[in-house]
Amino acid sequence: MTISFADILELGLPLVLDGSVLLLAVIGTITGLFVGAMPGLSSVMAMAILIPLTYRMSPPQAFGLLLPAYAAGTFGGAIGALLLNIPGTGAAIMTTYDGYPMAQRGEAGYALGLSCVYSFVGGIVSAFFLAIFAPVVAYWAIRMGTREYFAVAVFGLGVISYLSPSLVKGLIGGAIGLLLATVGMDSITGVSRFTFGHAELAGGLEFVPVMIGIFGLGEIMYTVEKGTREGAHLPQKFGRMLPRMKDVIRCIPTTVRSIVVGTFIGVIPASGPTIGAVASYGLEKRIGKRREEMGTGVPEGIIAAEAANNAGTGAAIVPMITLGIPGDAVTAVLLGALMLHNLRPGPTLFTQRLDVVASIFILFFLGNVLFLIFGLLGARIFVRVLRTPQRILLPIVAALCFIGAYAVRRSVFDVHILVIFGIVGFLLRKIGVTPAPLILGFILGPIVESTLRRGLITTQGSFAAFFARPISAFLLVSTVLLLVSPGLIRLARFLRTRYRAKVERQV
Amino acid sequence: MRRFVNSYTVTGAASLLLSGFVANYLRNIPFAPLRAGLGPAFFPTVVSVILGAMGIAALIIGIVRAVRQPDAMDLAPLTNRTAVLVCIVVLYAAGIQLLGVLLPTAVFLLVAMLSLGVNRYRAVLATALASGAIYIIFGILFRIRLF
Amino acid sequence: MRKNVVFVLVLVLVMATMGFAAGAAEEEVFPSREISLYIGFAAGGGTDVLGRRIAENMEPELGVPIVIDNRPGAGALVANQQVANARPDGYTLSLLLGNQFLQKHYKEADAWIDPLEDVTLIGVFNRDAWGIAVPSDAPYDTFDEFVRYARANPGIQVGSGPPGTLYYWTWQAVIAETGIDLTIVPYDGTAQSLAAAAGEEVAAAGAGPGEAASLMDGGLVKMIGVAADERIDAFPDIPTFAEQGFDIVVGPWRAIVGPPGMPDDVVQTLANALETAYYSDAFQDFIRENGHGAFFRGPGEDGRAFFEAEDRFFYSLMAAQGQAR
Repeated sequence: MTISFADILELGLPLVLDGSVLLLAVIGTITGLFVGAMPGLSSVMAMAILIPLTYRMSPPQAFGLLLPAYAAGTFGGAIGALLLNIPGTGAAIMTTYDGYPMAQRGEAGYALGLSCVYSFVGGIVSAFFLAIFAPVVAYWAIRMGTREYFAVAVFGLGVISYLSPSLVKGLIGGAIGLLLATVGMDSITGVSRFTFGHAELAGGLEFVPVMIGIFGLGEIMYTVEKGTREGAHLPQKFGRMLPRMKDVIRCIPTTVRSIVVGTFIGVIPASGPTIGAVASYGLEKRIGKRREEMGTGVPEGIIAAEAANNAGTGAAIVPMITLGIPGDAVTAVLLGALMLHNLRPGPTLFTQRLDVVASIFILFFLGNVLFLIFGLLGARIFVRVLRTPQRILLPIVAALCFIGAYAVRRSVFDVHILVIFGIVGFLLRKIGVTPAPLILGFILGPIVESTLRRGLITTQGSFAAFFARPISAFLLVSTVLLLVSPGLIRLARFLRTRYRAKVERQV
Repeated sequence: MRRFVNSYTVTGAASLLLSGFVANYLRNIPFAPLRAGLGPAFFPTVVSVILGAMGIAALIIGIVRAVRQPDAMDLAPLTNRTAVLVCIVVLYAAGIQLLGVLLPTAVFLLVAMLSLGVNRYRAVLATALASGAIYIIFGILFRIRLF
Repeated sequence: MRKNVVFVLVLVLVMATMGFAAGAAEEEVFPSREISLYIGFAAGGGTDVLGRRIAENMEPELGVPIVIDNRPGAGALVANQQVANARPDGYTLSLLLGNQFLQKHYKEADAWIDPLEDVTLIGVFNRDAWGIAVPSDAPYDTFDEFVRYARANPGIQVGSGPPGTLYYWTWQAVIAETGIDLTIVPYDGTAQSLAAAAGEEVAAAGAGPGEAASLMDGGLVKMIGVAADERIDAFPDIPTFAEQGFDIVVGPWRAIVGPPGMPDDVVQTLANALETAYYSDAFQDFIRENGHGAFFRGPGEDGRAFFEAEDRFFYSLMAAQGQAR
């Protein structure tokens, strides 16, 4: 199951260098960018739209469409995040932290350029790393069990609460998100909770209406209530898009850290790019050189988020293609695409259809190159969105939220969910509870709950056993330290000043 | 009493209410039927206890702040504008339920833009353009039934 | 004035006849426009891929496109409920799985449909076999050895799907049949429970051979039996449970159904298309390559008998645990 670069180029290139495959890759990229950028359209939905089109295609054509869409969709999430403060995908939540303030300063173009270039860097580096180490990585990933999944999810929640302006409010948001995730049929016993007799809720609250309700509609209502400015739109500097050399050099440590964190966390099945971005941003906030300025619109913040989440995309593909274990919802769809073409992932694929495997690696690589080109070319158009007067833009974005919520399942019920969570998000914002911890809690809730309870079944009810595995122990201890450290530091300062006062009095 | 109304006390009170509601709802759901001792009520109970604890913490912080800086108001009051906003989105959703997506969307766009003070001609033009684009992208390209 | 009235009358008459004619024409040649097939699972999953494959092969027979409409929710219940309430004209169909029978009989489920009453069967076009996958270096190679190991180590953990799913209840059937003491650990899906077996978190996982194939290739799991009538063509080395003296035949199957009260000729047209599609080389190749099980039952007596047998089977499965409604 080893694969060398010579193999990849020799077997894969002839399949990829084909007019139709290249054209499909361009179509996939544009679709991915569009869907990723639009609030309310998720990359899972992009896949669902594209998959039927791949019916009668050859495998390279099908993956030529899907993989660039996946890569571009993950970057595309950043566009909505930094222009409108509405992340297009869950993985782009962290991009709102620095991307939006930077765009509000009039540097939307530069923010976009940074996101695009560093998404590319993250994606490419992880692709190379994974092409070389795919088998090793996959066998490592399969050793990750219930307790590691639990620890990584709790770690993600801890980090995002820590990043909240107020730790208490962050934890409250996270807890509300976790509670929302318990709506529906319990995955361990099958008992219904909080469904109030609605069959639509048996499978839980749908992700898209909750996410765009809280982030999108809630944000819009908040902005409108504050009063849209007479100035109509923000002035935007168009000049610089490509990262400045001094930023690039200064951010080398950040870049390396983000890619490593994104790749490692992305490989753990069930976590995917979202936790990778959260963890990477958290790390930067903790040990980065400009940690004090994080959240005000510094390049480090954008890089930490975007390099990590795109590094996670490559990481999520590997367990899928080597062992048939999907890392997230999108890779699950990609797995289906393989099956649709009678290709069974696993070592057999590597021995019998190495050409297909090679073409998948090349197409993933190509997808990253394509969104870099189209992202940079399109950046001027995207930035123009912000030049649309706010009073016209906001109603249109609100309407898109409604249509997006409806489109997921073609369900009016989800439109009601959107309205409820729009109002909830609006009220939460008024009392200073930021949406990010809540949404992350909602995304990770099912993982946290089922792994906690399943873990307790496998360990016969022992909480201590969660600390018996090195990776889960490391992550859980880090989470606890992270959450108590601000309190401890304050306590230490308080004691020190008292001690000094005492010493001075004695003198 | 009013001096104690700030973002922390409101957050704390809301958390306690939600936590109480969840705890009350879970009374009829088994906490521990499985052999390892954990049922469907276990996890929401744990979370609601955390939520309750954080709610109390927020209340304490809020009261301390209110005592230390009684004049610092960090909470904008609810206004008529809030009520209008809520009404508009609720009506829009009801419209979708009754008439499909496209028509209520056009009406919503027009009403929202006009009430935000966009001039009449631009509002009509923007509504027409946006509705057309929505129809082409969602109705034709994604094959989603819009009416 | 009078002329006008006559003109209007004539116009109304003409329009009415045209309307009738159009209606009649539509009835004469049944598929005259596209057919929607609801799939109660997200695009890209195993069931979705099967549904798309069969629909693709039905299209040439019917001469109209079949549009797949993924409407996930409550284990396909949402999609099937919508079809159960749709117009019975043959243009709205859905995929129905065995777990609709499971929900009907499981007392914890709050909503369900009765596949015997609430839908019209067009045909069952696939049946997979459940099986047991174990870590590749586990000290048991056959079902017998597994049972002996479980007797010596009471409470060993086995991975399954959630309790609302078939794979959970098949373990209950194993426990009931053999009297061994197993702890069932419910995972979110078969892929996860298989991964847990491969990572040796559990001693065994319930899965079909097609689902376990990738991990078998990787040398991470081996299968000690499948719950089929006879060995599966694509996996001739895996013995059936029946060969090993344990009589169980169970696994997920997929059927196409329509709303109740569909006209017989429409049902027949669809059933013929389904049968032709099922026996097409393209579909047969597909199920063999992916390790799916071959199985067909039409809408007539045999299909009805199959549904009734499944109904009884799920009832007895639930009743044995005191979980039947």
